[in-house]
Amino acid sequence: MTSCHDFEVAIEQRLHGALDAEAAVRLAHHLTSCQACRAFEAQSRELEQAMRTHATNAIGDVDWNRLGRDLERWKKQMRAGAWKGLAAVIVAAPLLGLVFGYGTIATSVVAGLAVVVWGRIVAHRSIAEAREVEHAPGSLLVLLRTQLDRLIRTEKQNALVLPFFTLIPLYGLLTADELTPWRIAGAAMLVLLLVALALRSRFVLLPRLLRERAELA
Amino acid sequence: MSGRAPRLEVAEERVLLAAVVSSVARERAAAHTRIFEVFREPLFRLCLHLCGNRATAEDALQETFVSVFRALPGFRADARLSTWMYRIAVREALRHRAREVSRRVEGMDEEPAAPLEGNPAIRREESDALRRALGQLSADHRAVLSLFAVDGLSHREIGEILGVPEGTIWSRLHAARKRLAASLDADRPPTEDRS
Repeated sequence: MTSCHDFEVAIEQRLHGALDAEAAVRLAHHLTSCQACRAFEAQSRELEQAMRTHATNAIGDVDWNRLGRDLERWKKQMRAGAWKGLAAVIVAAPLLGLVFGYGTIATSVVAGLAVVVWGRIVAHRSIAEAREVEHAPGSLLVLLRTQLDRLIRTEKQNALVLPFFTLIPLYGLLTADELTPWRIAGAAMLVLLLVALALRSRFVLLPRLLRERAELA
Repeated sequence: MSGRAPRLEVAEERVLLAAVVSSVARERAAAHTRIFEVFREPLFRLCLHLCGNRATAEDALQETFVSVFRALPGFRADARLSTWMYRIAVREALRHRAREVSRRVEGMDEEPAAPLEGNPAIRREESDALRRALGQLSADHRAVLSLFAVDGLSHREIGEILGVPEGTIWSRLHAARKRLAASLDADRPPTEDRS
């Protein structure tokens, strides 16, 4: 330790009980003659105490029972999630059949089940992310930025790919034997939904994720 | 230093990790409750410093426990449970903070900070100044300052949580402290300099 910078780092170490005895003696000797380092030490203690006090006071305002109840509710929702997905498929498939013809019910059920499976995959991905934190080498911040980059790529893909999916209901209309009002309304709703999702990805989610990425930079 | 963060002994940690994969629902629930009670306060302190306000910190804390309870059955105990949970908390808190900043750009108001002890008017001002100054730091600097301000964590644990070498931790803490002090100085009204 020769410079005030080195002594300031030593002050941090002493503050957190990580300074060895020999270095502590050198620091004590330096502090007797250095007003700036004494001021730094006092300021560091003060800031650390202010941060603790700020957090301790806020803890008093936290409703732990509510947080506990919310966690219990989440557990129940997780258990019910898969059944809700199946119920949605059972309700939606006949409706889609009504719009696109009863011959498409089987296709609708398969598509619905695919959505349910996709939901489970997304849920498992979040579990994998939490596990990744356990084993990830290197900086946690780097890992976090990588995860955010992945989300940004996904939203960019959604914004590009979803508009092409509108061709499916349009193809359904073009190849239909008869253009009933129900069929046209169903196809229009699907097109609107897909366009809305694509626009949301492009103009809401993507800018938000890019801002989040910038905040973590 | 104020009260240290409660810690789980290795033996109890093993018992809890066995209980979370138990086939008996009551044992799993009891293990979750114990983990929640032991870690909620230190994790909240960390989330509060990283997020900047209580509401966002509460959301981040809840997401942390959701992630932990989801992934706990597959936890392979290569690291201590506490280290892993702090890593998840840092990740969730920084995510929530980033989302909060993003939402604020879209027009949401910021919640004032909880006041420090003492004269409420003066202390609230100090508390707000501290929160603003912390908010101006980079995510790395905020994380290292916050982890050191959570009682009971050693620099080795903080290095493991952030995934950086021990030597880097000290230099990063020092740089963060300097930045924080500079931000506080810049934020201070000129009238205080004359006193």
